Amino acid sequence: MGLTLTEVLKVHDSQSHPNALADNLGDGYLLKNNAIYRNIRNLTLKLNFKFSKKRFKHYDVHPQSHLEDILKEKTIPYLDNVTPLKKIQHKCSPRDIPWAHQGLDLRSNFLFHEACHAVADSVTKKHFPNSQTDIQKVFRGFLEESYVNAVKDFLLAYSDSKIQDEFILRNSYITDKSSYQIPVLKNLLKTLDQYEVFIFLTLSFLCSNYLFLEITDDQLTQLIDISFSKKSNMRPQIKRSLKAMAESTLDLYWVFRTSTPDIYFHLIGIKTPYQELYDFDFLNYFKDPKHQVILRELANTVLK
Amino acid sequence: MATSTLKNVYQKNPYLVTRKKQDGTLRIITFGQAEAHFELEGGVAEIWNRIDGKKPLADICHEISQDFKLNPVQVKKETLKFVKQLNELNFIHPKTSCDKWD
Repeated sequence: MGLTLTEVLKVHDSQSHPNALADNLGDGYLLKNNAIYRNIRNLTLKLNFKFSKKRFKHYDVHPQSHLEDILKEKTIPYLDNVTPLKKIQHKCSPRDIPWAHQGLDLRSNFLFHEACHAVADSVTKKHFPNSQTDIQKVFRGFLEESYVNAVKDFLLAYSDSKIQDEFILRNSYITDKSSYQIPVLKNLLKTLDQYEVFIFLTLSFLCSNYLFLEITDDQLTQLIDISFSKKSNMRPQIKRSLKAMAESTLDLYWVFRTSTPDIYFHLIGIKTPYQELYDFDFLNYFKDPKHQVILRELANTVLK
Repeated sequence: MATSTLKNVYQKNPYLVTRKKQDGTLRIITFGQAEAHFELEGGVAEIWNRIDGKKPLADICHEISQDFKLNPVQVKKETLKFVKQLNELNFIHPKTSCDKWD
């Protein structure tokens, strides 16, 4: 027997936190029980971002084109997704609607995703000059997106209950928790340094965003070299798991990997042919220890 | 649509990305459409690789027939056929004074 609407709302109401948004489903619960969610929220507030139900004019039509507005206004939009559920619960009473009911398929809040972007932007802007080339602009954008992807996976890996998974799904673009790499990630976190795993996962998503079709043995070696300090005695089984996780990031929804950047490039005024943008050798770039600083800073934001 | 001739210089659509797989296959990736990509191998991959917005098709055919010791007549025939398909797919475009992607 799965969760019901009443159970979900009861858990939502029972968990509070000083920084919680009472009208965002599961917000208090996640702040209390998930360190990744809490760290991102704390940092976002520290950066003076606020959360608002006052929407940007066209945010609901196409949220992806409003990142610049969010960063400029330091305002992350969200929706009250609790009141409608409570209304449904009240009207349906005494019947208790199953949580999996298709009629409860409300729109998710993207505030966690947007908050991750706010944090990523605060880190990357220190490392990139104001006058960027198209290749640098795109690299920075992909690095931020890859960071957000990696944080999302860590968020799921830190979840220890079904209800937490449900709340996470209602707070991001994630639509499916059955994600390939989460069990692998959980296992790797038991044996490897979590900061280094985070860097590895971010770089793996960077491969995905740069439209790699596969992870070759040579690329795996480069990913490991950049990410891990103690790699000489890394067991073959661990390497296999790392490769499986890296390859699974390439399963990221194909349309998302191509359509979102395509529109984004136009929004930020990119003129360079795509092949040149995608040929940027970021693995080589990160071989330089001074360029690796940004990866460590990004990891530090999530894993305090 | 203009007929492809060996004198034409072709340029690739700048909104495409090509990726090479370990087995040598090339994948041409188009953006924003579900699974809209095309895989090339062998001779056609060679033609695609050599289309650079500078060399006329005649030079590309000459290079391929030299490098792979192939019958030049056959190479020209196959190249024109392939280029026609690429043009129809909007993957390439003859370089003219009025370039549609500029």
